[in-house]
Amino acid sequence: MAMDLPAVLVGSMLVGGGAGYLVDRWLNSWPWGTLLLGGVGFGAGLWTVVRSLTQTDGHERTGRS
Amino acid sequence: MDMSEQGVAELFGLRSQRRAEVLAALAGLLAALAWGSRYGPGTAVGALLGAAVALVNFRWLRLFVTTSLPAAAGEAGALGQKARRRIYRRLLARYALLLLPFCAILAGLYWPAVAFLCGLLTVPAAVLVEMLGALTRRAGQALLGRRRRFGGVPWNTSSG
Repeated sequence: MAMDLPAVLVGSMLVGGGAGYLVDRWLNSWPWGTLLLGGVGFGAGLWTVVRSLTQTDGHERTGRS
Repeated sequence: MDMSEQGVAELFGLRSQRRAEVLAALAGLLAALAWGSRYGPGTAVGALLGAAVALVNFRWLRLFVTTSLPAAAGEAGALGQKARRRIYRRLLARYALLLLPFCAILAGLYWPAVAFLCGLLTVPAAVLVEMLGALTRRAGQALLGRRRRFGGVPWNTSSG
């Protein structure tokens, strides 16, 4: 699907940011937890996207192995 | 995997990304105006800086996917282990560079960090809006295609 990679990137960032927001509410440290975990989420999403784009070891994107 | 420029552009939707860029810039300006009118010019600068950092990051990522990756893959259309490592190193160096102004902005702004965070969120928001728009357009086109196929009557599915 054309939009799956941006969706992974944005989704992981939003999940990380949401978890950070909950941590901030718990620890009363707004907005540092949101920034930190949002950044971690972005990093994880970026890692997934780059890995899926550079994966060439015999696997096709069409689902065939 | 098809690593040609056209293949990657098709995969990521180059037009959609350009539209998302424009949307993010507009959202950044709107956020700066909103924060500035409500809480003063310091917060407007914070929101504007956040939007600028997010936009630079988005542009980097877009160029990386549409030009650097296909160039590294070359004509063979595949990435070797060395090329893959070089790409990871380059990406890491870019983000290390981006982290410096990020920390400097946060250290210099003190309390408008919330406005800065709001500015950073303009790009994910713009990407989400663009994705919804693309899905809506696709659904609209599918509906139009079905109408044309069945003689302008969408519920008439009989072939004879």
